[in-house]
Amino acid sequence: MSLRVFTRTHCSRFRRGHDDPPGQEGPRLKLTHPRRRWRIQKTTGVCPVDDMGEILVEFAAEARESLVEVEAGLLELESDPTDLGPIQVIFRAIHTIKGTCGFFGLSELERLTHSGENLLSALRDGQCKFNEDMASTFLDLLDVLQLFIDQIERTQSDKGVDSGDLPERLQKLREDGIAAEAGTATVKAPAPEIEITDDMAELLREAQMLPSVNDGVSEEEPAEAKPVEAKPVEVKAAPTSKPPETKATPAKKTAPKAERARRSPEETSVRVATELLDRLVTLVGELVLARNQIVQRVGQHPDPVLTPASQRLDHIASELQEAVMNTRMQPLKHVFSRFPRLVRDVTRLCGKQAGLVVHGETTELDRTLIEAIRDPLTHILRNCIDHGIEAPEKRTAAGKTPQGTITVDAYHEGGFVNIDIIDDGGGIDVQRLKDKAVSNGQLTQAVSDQMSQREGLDLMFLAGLSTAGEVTNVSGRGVGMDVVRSKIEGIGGTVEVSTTLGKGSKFKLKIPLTLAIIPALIARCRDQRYAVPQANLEELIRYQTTKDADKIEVMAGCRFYRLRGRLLPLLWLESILFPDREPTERDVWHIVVLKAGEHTYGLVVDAVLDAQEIVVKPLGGLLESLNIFAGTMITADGRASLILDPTGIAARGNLSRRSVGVRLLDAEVEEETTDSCALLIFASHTDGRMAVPLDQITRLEELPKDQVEVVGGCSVIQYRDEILPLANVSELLPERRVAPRPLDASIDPAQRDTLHVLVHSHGGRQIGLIVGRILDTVPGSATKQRGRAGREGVLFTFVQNDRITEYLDLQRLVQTASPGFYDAAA
Amino acid sequence: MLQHEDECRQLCSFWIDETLFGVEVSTVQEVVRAMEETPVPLAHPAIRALINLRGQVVTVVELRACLGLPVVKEKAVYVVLRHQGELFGLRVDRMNGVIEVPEAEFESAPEAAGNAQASLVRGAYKLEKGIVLEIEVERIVTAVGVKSAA
Repeated sequence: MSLRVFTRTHCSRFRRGHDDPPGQEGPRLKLTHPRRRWRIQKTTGVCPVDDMGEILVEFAAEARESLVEVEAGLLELESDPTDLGPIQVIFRAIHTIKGTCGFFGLSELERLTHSGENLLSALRDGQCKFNEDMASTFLDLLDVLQLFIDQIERTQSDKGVDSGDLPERLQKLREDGIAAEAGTATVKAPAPEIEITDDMAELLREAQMLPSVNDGVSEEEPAEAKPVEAKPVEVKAAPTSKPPETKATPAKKTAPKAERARRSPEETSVRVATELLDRLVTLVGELVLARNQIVQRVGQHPDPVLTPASQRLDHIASELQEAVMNTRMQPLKHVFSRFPRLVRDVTRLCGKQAGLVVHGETTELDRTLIEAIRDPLTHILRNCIDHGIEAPEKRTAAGKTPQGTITVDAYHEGGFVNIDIIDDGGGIDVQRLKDKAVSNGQLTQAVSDQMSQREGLDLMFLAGLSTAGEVTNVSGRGVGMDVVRSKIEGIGGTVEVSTTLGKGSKFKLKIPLTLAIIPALIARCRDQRYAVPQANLEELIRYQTTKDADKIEVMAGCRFYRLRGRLLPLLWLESILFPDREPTERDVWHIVVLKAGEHTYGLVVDAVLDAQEIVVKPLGGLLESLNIFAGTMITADGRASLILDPTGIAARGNLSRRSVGVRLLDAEVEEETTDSCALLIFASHTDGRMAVPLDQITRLEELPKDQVEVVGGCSVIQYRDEILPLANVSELLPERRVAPRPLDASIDPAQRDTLHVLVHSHGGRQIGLIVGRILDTVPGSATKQRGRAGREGVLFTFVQNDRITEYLDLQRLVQTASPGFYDAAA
Repeated sequence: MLQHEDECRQLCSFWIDETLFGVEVSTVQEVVRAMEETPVPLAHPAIRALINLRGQVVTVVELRACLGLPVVKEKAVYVVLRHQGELFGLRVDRMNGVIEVPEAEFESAPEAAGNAQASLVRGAYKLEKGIVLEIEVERIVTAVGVKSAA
């Protein structure tokens, strides 16, 4: 049906030639092939459909791109209605679309764009001023144009899309605008077309009509366009200026406008189908595999001819891979371009005022990942405006500017693309989050009290948690942030948030650069090979059970490795993959230190084999739910292998977002029912062994000694955004009457760089108790046999592991150290 | 797919023990001999391994496990199936080739039979000698894909 329409219109245009009704000046098609024209006239409805279809698709793609520019132009115009530069851009885009509609017989779309073009030309000529209504109407026009373009792509016709009353509204705005302006302004510039000669007009129209040649013509356009552009500007300055004059004046105003009008010369590009690009990527992937095989083999069997050739192959393949990967990279501009409109719409909806500042939109990211982050970014922005930025009155009352600012900053760092979204709003009230979680039953009050600022903030990513007072149209249903996090983590990235109450918040997204070919470390576990992405790899440790035994701490059945002042939780790959079997005892452990989001841990593997660049292949639908694997690959010897997902492994190993101490706390809460609470055994150099109930200890930390400061006579240290007062347990106790058996000089706090600290909290206050060395945790049943206490501060003694251990009165010690500790909060 | 009385369908058929099963032939991409496998820890018990099929990593499902039968160690055959754009392999005992089955001879499986076999089999076609049970590929994916040890 649409084909026939095309034919008729097409033919009718040719037949009509120059008799177009006035106002209907579409581009004139000059057919150079009379024979083609004859063929079309004779055809009864069958057109060279494929060609037409292709051109239409091209047109749709071009139009889409123009619409992005139009939107940007409209928003610029809205913020500065006096700057008429964007109008040129918008006008040209709409004019081009309108012209092409004529060519294809898309009459509906033509009618719509025509009314838009009329209003734009009135604006351009200064016949009316740009106002709020026009902005909204133009944006509506944009939306409808999008619908048209979608429809055209799908059905190759513009039927089925309803413009509604848009043409009439545009018409009315034009009339009202002109009337209003005629009342105030005395200067009226004649339409540029009258000043331009017919030849120039012809050239302009033909230039605009040929879509794909636009780039080439862009150099000439500004020259042509200058007289046209200069008009609106010059009108305001000197009503009597004529075109020949303006051509000579390189007025400061025209130059920047011309800049904007001209397409940026850096964008010399070609259009390539995405399928072709994907195919290239796949082929390069296979090439990388074959290259790995050859290089490996030649490495083992050197050959005077093959070796240099394989080295060249290695080098070329790497470069080719990098280049092809780059084809998949797109600037983030593609995602960020929608943000100004989004901010505008949401601020209007929420009654807030916010400005958007974007940095780093040229930062590039793999095409597939760009799509994946679009929704999460949109949601975070919505959240910022809806919950972060306060209402203008509230802001002014707080001494802030009534308009808030949201900054989006994108940059490359360490193999990742970082996107920071910062707002200067009211910040996130962590206490409210905690309270909401407790009232939702997602958290117990006890755990909530023990949580640090960072853990509390993390609650915002829990499903169903929304502290919004009312559920607004924009957000507040509490289903947003958890989806954001899972989507970002699904592509191998991380989301973190930090906030300052009253000042604002910052969302930090980290996205891996690309997923297709990644450098990986091959590790062996039980005769199978697994790949570990190097992006998560921090370091490798070789641990010998015989020599380095003191580096291992055991707490509540979990092993930790002491890594330069940090306790690194250890997970055994073997135990994770084969939970039913006992891990094999080995003398040497190979520990792979991985960082997955917030968790850093050591993964113990049988052996570390090789570092390779591997082609990531999808896991497949049947295996997708296994979160410990990120994908599959083919090793250099042709076997299929699995790629580990460090985040999934951390989750599986129960490295939950809460810190170790809280987890221990949870585990012990279950034990409490048997009325025997577990004990934490520690020792000091001079005082022998001591014990405290484990549930009184929030956290075990190792803190650097040189960061201890003395404030008002007390030792303190900066800890997790707070100040932690410190007290040495040995100093809190009176001296023992009988000196205990000396333990080990290495646990003398005076001789180490770090302090072992037991953190005890109560009612929002915290105190750190310095001990010599943490030894073990034991079940409370160990205290069945109790002996008499020998000094104050000790409740009783008992024997544990053949040693006498003092069970301390923790509350009393804490009160000695900090007398007001247990008082109700002021 | 029109199902007239005189229409025939083609099934790719194979043996599990002494029972003949078949799948719609258009779902089958190829049949390959058993090759080097990589086991997948923590996966559904019916997922046997991964194989390298000319550069593509394909998951192999142990059909015997899906049917509730014990797995045998003998060399078997993989029927590589295409489902929703993805490939996966089905490990079976022996191939029997492509057979034509007349629609008229179809009997759908009794409802709620309860055993593992019934959940995969959509029905049976009577042959000159014996019957062939048609497995619906979709049902294998549902049985194996959703449930896993994660």
